[in-house]
Parts: sequence; C-alpha cells; structure tokens
Amino acid sequence: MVKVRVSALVFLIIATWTLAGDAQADRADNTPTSALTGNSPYEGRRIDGINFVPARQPLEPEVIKQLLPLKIGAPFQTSDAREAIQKLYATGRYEDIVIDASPGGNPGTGGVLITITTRNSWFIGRVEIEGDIPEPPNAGQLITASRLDLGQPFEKDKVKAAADNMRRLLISNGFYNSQVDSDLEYNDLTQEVNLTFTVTARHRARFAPPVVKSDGQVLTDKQIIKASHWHWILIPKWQQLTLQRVTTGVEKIRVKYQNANRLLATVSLDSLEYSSQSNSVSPHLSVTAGPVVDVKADGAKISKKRIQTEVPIYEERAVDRDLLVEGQRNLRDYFQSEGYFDAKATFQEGRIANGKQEIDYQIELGTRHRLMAVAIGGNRFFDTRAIRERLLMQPKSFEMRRGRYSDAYLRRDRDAIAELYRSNGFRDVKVTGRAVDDYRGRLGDIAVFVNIDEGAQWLVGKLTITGQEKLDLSQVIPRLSSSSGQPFSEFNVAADRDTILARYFSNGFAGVTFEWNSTPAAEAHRMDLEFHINEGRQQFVREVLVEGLHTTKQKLVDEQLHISPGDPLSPIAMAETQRRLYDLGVFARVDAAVQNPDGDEDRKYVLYQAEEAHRYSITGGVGAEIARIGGSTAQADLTDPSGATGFSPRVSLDISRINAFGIGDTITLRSRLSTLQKRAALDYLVPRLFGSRDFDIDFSAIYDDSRDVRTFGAKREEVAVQITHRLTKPIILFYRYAFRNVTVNNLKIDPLLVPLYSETVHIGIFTVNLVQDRRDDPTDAHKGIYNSLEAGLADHAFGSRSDFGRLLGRNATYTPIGSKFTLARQTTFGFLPAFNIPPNADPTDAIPIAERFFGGGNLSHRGFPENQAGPRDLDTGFPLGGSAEFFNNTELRFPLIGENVNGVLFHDMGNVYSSIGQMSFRVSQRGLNDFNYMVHAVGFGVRYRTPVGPIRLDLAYSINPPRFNGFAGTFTDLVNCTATNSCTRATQQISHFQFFFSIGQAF
Amino acid sequence: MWPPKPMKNSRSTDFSLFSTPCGADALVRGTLRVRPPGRLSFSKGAVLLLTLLLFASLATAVVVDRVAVTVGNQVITETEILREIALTAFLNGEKPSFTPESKRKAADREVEQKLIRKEMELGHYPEANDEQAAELLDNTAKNVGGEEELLRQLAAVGLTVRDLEQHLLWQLTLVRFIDLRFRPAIQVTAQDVQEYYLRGILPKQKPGQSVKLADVRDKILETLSAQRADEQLDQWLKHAKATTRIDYKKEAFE
Repeated sequence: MVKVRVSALVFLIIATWTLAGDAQADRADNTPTSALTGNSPYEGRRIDGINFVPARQPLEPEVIKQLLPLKIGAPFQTSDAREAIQKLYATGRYEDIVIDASPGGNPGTGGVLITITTRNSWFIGRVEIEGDIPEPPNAGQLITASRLDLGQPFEKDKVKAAADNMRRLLISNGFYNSQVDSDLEYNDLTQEVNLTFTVTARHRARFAPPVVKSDGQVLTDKQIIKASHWHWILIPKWQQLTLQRVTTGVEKIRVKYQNANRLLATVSLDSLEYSSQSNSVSPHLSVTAGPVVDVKADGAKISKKRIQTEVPIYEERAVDRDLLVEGQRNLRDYFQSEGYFDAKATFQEGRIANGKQEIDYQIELGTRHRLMAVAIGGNRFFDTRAIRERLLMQPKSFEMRRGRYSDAYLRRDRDAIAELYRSNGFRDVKVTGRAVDDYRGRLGDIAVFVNIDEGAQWLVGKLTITGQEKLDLSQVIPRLSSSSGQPFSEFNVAADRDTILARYFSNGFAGVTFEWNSTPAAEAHRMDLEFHINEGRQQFVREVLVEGLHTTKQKLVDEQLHISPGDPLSPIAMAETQRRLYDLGVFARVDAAVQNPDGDEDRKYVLYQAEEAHRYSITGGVGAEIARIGGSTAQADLTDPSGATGFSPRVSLDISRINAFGIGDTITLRSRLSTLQKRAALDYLVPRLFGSRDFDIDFSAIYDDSRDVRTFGAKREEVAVQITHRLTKPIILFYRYAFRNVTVNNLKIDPLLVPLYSETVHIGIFTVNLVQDRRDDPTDAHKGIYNSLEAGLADHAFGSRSDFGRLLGRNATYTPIGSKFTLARQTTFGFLPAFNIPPNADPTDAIPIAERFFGGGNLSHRGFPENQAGPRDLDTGFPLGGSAEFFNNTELRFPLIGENVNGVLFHDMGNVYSSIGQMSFRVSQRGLNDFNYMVHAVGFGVRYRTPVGPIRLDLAYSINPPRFNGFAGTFTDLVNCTATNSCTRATQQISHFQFFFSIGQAF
Repeated sequence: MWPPKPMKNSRSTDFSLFSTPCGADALVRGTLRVRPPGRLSFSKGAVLLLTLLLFASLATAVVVDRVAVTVGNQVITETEILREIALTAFLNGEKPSFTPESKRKAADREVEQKLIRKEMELGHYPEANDEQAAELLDNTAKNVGGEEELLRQLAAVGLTVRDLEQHLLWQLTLVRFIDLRFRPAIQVTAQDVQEYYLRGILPKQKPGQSVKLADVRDKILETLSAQRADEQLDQWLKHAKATTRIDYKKEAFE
C-alpha cells in the first residue's frame, strides 16, 4: 500500500514538474517553442484577468482598455501579448513592459491570468539655473546650451551632457573654475523631471598676452594684438574674457587685413591656453596675410567704391568663384540700371603671383538706352495697372531717369504675367514681348510691347470633398477659392489646401494629409475637382502645465491660457497662449511644448516653461537740449523775451518694478532733472483691466516744476487715472481724469496781472482722446496716417475752479513718392472754450495761464523758438499763450548720403491765437500788438538714422516772424513805471533764423 | 528599481482588469503563502505535498513576452526576435539557435528593419504586394515537398505560414526600398566597369577562355550597382542607428 502511494506520489511529482517545466521553458533553456505561436502552455486559454503592476498607470483606464488587444474572457494569444506591448510602448509613456501569464484564479477552468508589469518613462520638465552668474552667459543661454528640450523624453545621461555643455559655455566665457551641479525632481503626477542646475561661476579669467604666429606681412605681432582690442586702451590691464570678445577680437584682426586688400587673409584661433595660477587665458593665433586682392573693371568707368559695393567678396571677406559670378551679375545689373541695357560683364581670376591676385572684370557697355514705354496689349481680364505692378521693367521716370530694362527682365516679366493669368484659370495664356530699339527714330530709345493672348478661362465645375468625417468643414468650404464657378488653378488649389489643413491642424489633427485631383468636366473649359482628406487621429489636451512661476500668481497665468483640458491639441492655440504669456511682460522667456510629442496617444500634456524676468529695471539717461531756450529765468530779468541760444543739460532716472504682487502690475518711478524741468512721476499700471486685453488702467501722481515757457515757472502737483481702451490694433481710446494744483511763479508780465495769474489753481479735467495710428514706423514714418482727437472738460463738477473745454485735433499723413521720397504733412488744430465766465471778465483770462496753448518750436512750428508763438504780454513781450492754435507742417523727406543720412525740406505755418475768433490766415502783422496772424517758415534739416529714431538738426527761416514790444529794464523798473505810466518800450522781433537739434522726426 | 515602486500621489489611475478572486500579487511573485503544516499523517502529507507541488508549478508565472529592444518610439519584443531566429533558420535549412549571441544578431536585424520601416513610412515608399510574397511562398512550399510538409515543418519550430509570408514580404519590400532609395543616386562609370573587368574577371579567366568586356558589361554594371547600393544602405543604417535611441534590454538576452 505504501509502495503504491509512493509510486503514485513520484509519478505525480514528475508530472507536476513536467508541467512547471513546460511553463518555464522559455526561461529555462534556449528552445523557443513556448514563446512562439501555438506552443505556449497558455495559448488559447481563456483570460481570467488582466492585472497591471504597478496598479497605477500613467494612461487612463479607458485608454488602456481601448489599446489592449488582450480582453478578459477571450482566448489568450501570444500575438496579442506582443501587440499589447507594441501599442503600450508606442504611447511613449513606458520605458519597459513585461507580460507574464500564470494559471487563472479558478483552478479547473484552465484560465490564464495576465500580469503586465510596466516601468514608466520620464519627460523633461522645468529646467532652471540657480547661482550667481555674472553675464555673459545669462540663464537663458545656459538653458539653451543644456539642450534639454521641454517635453522630450528624459534620459539620465542627458543630465551629464547638459552640465558638460553648460560648463563649456561658461569656460568659453572665461569661467574656467566654474562648477555645475544638478538636482533632479521627479514629478510622478505628470512623468516630468524638473532639473535645477546650480552654477558656481567663480572669477572670470582675463586675457593674457596672445601668442601670434604670423608671416609678418602687413601687420606686426604687436599691431595684431592691438587690433584685437583684448587689452584696455590706456589702462595697463587685459580685458576679461568672454566668448563675444574672443570672436570680435579675431574678427577685428581680420578686418585690419581686409582693409589692406588682403581679402584672403586667414586669422585662426588655434587655442586658448589657460593659466590657473594667474586665472588668465592666452589666445594662440595663426595669421597669414595672403595675397593682395586687386579688383579692376575694364571697359567702363566705375568707382572703386562702387566695385566694392557690387562685388560681394568685400562684404563676404572671401574670394571664390560663386562670389565673383555674383559680382559679375551685380555689375551687369548696375550698368543696365544706368541705361546700358545691353551691358555684359565677364571676369578673369588671375593666379596669385608675387603676393598679388588680380581679378579683372571686363565690361561691355554697348549703347546707352532709355526705356521710353512699356506697352501692354491683349489684356481683358486684368487691367493694365494690375499687370504693371508686377513688372520689373520700368519706363523712364523722375526716379529712374533711364528706366529699367534687360532681356532677363523682359523674360521674367513675361513669366510673371503668365503666372498671374494661370493662377486665375487661364491655363492656355501666352505672353509675348518684343523690344523696339531706336523707338520713334530716337537713337537709344527703347519701347517694349507686351502682348497677352489670354485664351479661355478655366473654371471649377464641381468640387467634391471626401474624407471629412470627424471635422465639420462647413465654415471653411464657403471660403475656398476653388468652389464651383471659380477660376481653376493650381495656385488656388494650393491656397485651399492650406486653408483646409490649417483648419485641421487647429483642431488637433496633426497627421492630416490632403490630396487632390482634377478631371475635365462635361462642360467646356470646366474642371471637376476632388479634394481628398485623410484626417488621421485627432489629439486632445490632457492637461496644461505651466512651470517656472515663483512670484507670479497662477491666476494671472490661467487667465491667459487659450487652451484647456479636453480641447483639440491646436498648435495655433498653443502659440496664442505663449504669445499672451509673453505679452504679460513679466516673463523673459516662455517655452511651449507638447510632452511626449512622438508618443502615439490621443491626449497630451501641453507644457509651458516660463522664466520670470528681472523684477526691477533701472534706466538712466543723460542728455542736453540746445536751442533758443536760454536767457535768465529770474523774474527780475526781463531781457530776451524771445529767448537766447541756450544749453540745458538733463539727467533722467526711471525705476520700474514689474509684476508687482505677482499679478502683472507695474510700478514705475520716473524722474527728470534739468535746468528747465524737475519732474517726478509715480505710475501704477494695471494691464488687462476686467481681464480684457483691450483695457488697461493707470494711476499716476506727478510733481513737476517747469520753466519751459519763458514767461513763468509752474509747479504742478497732479493725480490722474487713465483707462486705455484698444478698439482695434491701430485705434486706441484714452479716458483720463486728472486733478492738479498749479502754482505759477516768476511771472514776467504786466505787474497788475501778476496777482491774478499767480493764484494757485485747481484743475479737475476729464478728457477723452481717440488715436488712430497707421504709420509704418512711429519713430520714422514713411507711409501711413496718424490721427488724434482729444476732447476735455474742466468743470466744477470735476473739482475744477476754472471751467473750460479743450479740443485738440491732429491729422498727419505720410505719402511715399517713388521708393525713396516721402511727403509728410501734419495739421494741428486746438481750441480752449471758456464758460461760466464771470460778468465783465476777459474770456482769455478765464483760462489759467498754465493751461493755455503754448506753441512753436521743434515739434510744432520751427519758425519760433520753443513756446514762443502766439499772444505776448504787451508790457514785457513775454508769451502769454492762447486759447486757439493752428499749425500746418509739410516735409519732403529724401535720402541724402547713403542709407542712414536723410535730408528734409520743410514748410511750417500757423500760430497760437488769443481766441478762436481771432484765427486768421493773414500773413502780415498789423502792428506790434497783433499776434493773430499766420507765421510761415521754411527750412532744411538733416536726419541721421539710429535705432532709437533719427537724430535731427533743423535750420529754419521764418519769413514773417512777429515783432513786439519788450521792456528795457528790470521787473522792479517795470513795476515803478507801470505805477507812473512811464514805461519805455523797446521793439523786438523773433529772429528769422532758428535751429533745433533733437531726436526723432518733427512729426 | 525594477519593477518600479508605486508612485506617490500619483494622478495615474489604479488599474486592474483582474476578475478572479485570487490574489494576483502572490501569483505574480510566484509564491503562495500557506499556513505551516502541523503534524500530518503520511497520506495527508503526501496529498498536501502533491497539492503544494501542483500549485507551486501552476502558480509560477511565465514571461510570455517582453520588451527586448527599443528603437526610438518603436519596440521589438522578445518573441519577435525568437521568431526572426526561427524563420531565418528555417529558410536556411538550419536548426535554430537561441543562444544570447544569436538573439543579439537577430535583434540587430530587427532593429534595421524597424529603421527602414520608419524611413519608408516617412518617405511614403511602397511595400511589396502580397501576390509577390505568395509566389515566393509557393516556391518555398515546393522546395520542402508541398504545403502540408511546409505546415508541419513550420509548426515544429513554432511558426505559422503567416509568419513566413510576412518574412518573405519584408524581404521583397527591402529589395524594392533599396532600389528606390539608393539605386537612383548610384553612378557606375565606364572606367569602373573597365576596372572591375580587369581586376575581377580577367584574373579568374581559365586558360583558353576569352571573356570579352562587351559580353559581361551588363552583368558587371548590375554587380557594381548592387554592391554600391548595399554600401549606401549600410552607411544609411549606420547613420540612422547613430541618430536613433536604441536600447537593448539585457533581460531579454540572457
């Protein structure tokens, strides 16, 4: 009995081990049968359950269910397991996947339990730089050097590579003892790895004397070193090393050689030898001067400078065949533009001999021509003007005295016209052109006759769009250029393709494709079109993650998000959000990316990595005004009522704190100090009022002590609130309420009026200002318009002690004349109506002197010194301002020398008037007490273009400047003589000549 | 670190499709906790031991498939490698070897296949059609003595006809890809042909035999073109491998 039992037991053990052995076959030995189809012990068994380890998976359960080919209750297939791995891995969310099978939970049913063990992958999240880094390099450059791209798969070896790259950048900027440490923070929620690099820069190395290997030609070693500017001038010290200084130093040496016609000179930086003892770096340079490159042009008269402009070897600082061929083309074009339409250019590149290489351009000019006319015929569909706009050929004109013509231009223009027609359905168009020499019997005159044989216009018969299933194109279809009845052309189809694809892309169909074909329709000259769209998969936003917020409130950022979870993954919406975040003005850098971009999943994380900008910015400025602003400001001194040439130095200091309280507001303190003005203003700007990008609100407090009007000094204390409303991009509306106390002092007027004008006035004024700005460049406009209309009301209801209105309009236009000239004009009209005027009071006196219009000067009328236009005190001759103004300025702007120096011829007219009723276009002054007439001035100006606007010098001649009575004596003398009515007047006149030196155009 | 620890505060979702009342974790680890036995009779002990052994054997989870190699965002599983070994051996008439070395070689071939497939997808290169593969399959069946024999031989090494068909289809596709991707750029000059003739044909000429250049020109052209196409392919693969993240999982090659 026992024996049997033992035998049975042994048998069962063997049987059991056999089963177990089968099950482990693929691991235990090298036979593949269990792993391959059909031979797995679990193949075909019912799946009892599918279990994930770890239980928490990065993909959502619905997504996993959808992806997995393994289903509970279905028979297990090895091929399904393989497919499961492939599909899960393709999502990009996993780094490793293992699928185990084991007997199911219900013995006897023969089921199988599947366990899928996964390891998640990681993605690059926030990359930050910490530490005190003296720029350069800045944090942004270090992040760029790290090559850690937001949202891309993270691998640990990338961290070391990133740190090495940063170190290299630091070393190239002189930080040889720098250290970069990294700290990784894993965010399980989003599979992100946030990386913080702590940079310890230490001391920046200085240059040490370079070691130069040169052939000694042109420059000595000492001159080479001097040319590099690596040593301070006059100071016995080497500069600190930066990458920029190294490269510019080498470049400067090269330029030295090139200036000596050594275009083939090579200056190479062999190495930078670092000495840890002195923390200095010695550049090792190899310099060869190369031959003298001499470029000549035979056969035509051309200046050396023109050759240098047209032959690009000078600009590129290299000599090769491509550049010489380009020079050949440029020279030909230059001569053709000079009327030598048959001009030809060839060149010969001489061999280097005796340290010299000659390059000879041979010019064959031919006869000089003028293109008198370009006649276009045969066109019915397009008018001649529309065709002319596309032509390179130009008949002679004021700008182009001989016109522009060449055979190549004619060919190109023929093609351009044909293309224009073809893109509008004229598939059979034929364009011919012929040039007639000695046109109308005049030697050298050319006329070109272009004939267009339009042929029939092909139209779209029927447009069929197939493949659109997930996206509604009903909004797009009406906008397609190739709809039925429209001209048929490949150009239109391409435009439609772009429209359709843009619609799909903005709805998360990143893989959409577009194909089209056309077949002749039954009707003549009609083509049926079929657009086939392969939509691909639509992707959506899983979540939007914004990183890098330290002081910025999340709410501020959330308001700018143009994309939300569940939205289609639209690159357009992502870019719009990025732009909005930039527009906040609180971030120095905003990167946007899709996490796991290559992963095959439908719901993606959208990442924004923001780098907050420095919160404080300090701007300082030093400047000066030179104009007729001089003369004593003391009240006792009544000389020079029209001012004298003066110099006013100025310093300014602005301090801004952006992103105040983390909500994107800006606090700014602006201060300015000059001999004419002391000013401090504190602003608090709230952008995006009511969460709308169209509204801003600004609170300001201003203290201003000015002496820009020679008649008086004014102290102004003002508080104001202004709402900016952007109606459209060029149209802005400003609503402003200001309350100010203005105290006037040092009045140089009739002593009897001093008490009246010296009173401190309280002005409460509400103004609305509409501005329309369509100028191409506000600092130096060449085309466009600028309009502004300001309407204000100072009333007791607003806390004002004086009641008056304010209307100020301005209209400016900028009209290009040809490609180089601009006609600019500006008209300004202003009017200050006073109301609630006390009985028997002078309406002019109802308006406080500091609120009146003062005009004249570099921005309004250059026939006057600053603020010297308009009515004057009859006793002292000092300007009193007026309640109406009219100015008109006209300028012809044109190039003068090169591209940066321009000239201006101008005419200014207008004046400030005592009242609107006194406004006059009269050009003669009726007497010494008459200031209500139109003053004219003409002049010439020079502008030098700079990045901040042109530097301006204007010289004006006033044709009819006002004469007036001044007072010869002091203010005390004036008081005494006024009392005795014995004042002596002295006739004076505003000078005919005025000059102005400033920055920016006059208007 | 593998398998990974559960994530803290994970927003990821708890996920289990397990539907049976059995403890899945225990099964996965290959252990089953039971109460230590007390005093038992022999028969009871024998039955318990039997049961234990039976359960132990059945409870042992087996890896049915796993990631073996990752190629960019594509993956090659262990079974794909085994299938590749089996198919190659079958077509070569050899016994398959599943040593780590042969696994590695097969994985390399699969990696190249993935890279080429990716390139084909990006460049919209056409695949060979099924009919051509079927023709090759017929030829293979004839070579082994008919369809039934083919099925039998395939089943013996755990393969299906579909596996073989796919393999043959890929080989055809690869030839077509090389023709379209690399051949057009290959130039064989008359001088190249002449040199090959002088160095590769004439020295091998038997005494008395006279092979004229004109007679073998087309053959030489084809040979040189094929050689250069292969060289181009190798260069391209080298570059593709260098620019693609390829990771071999050592567990799959043990």
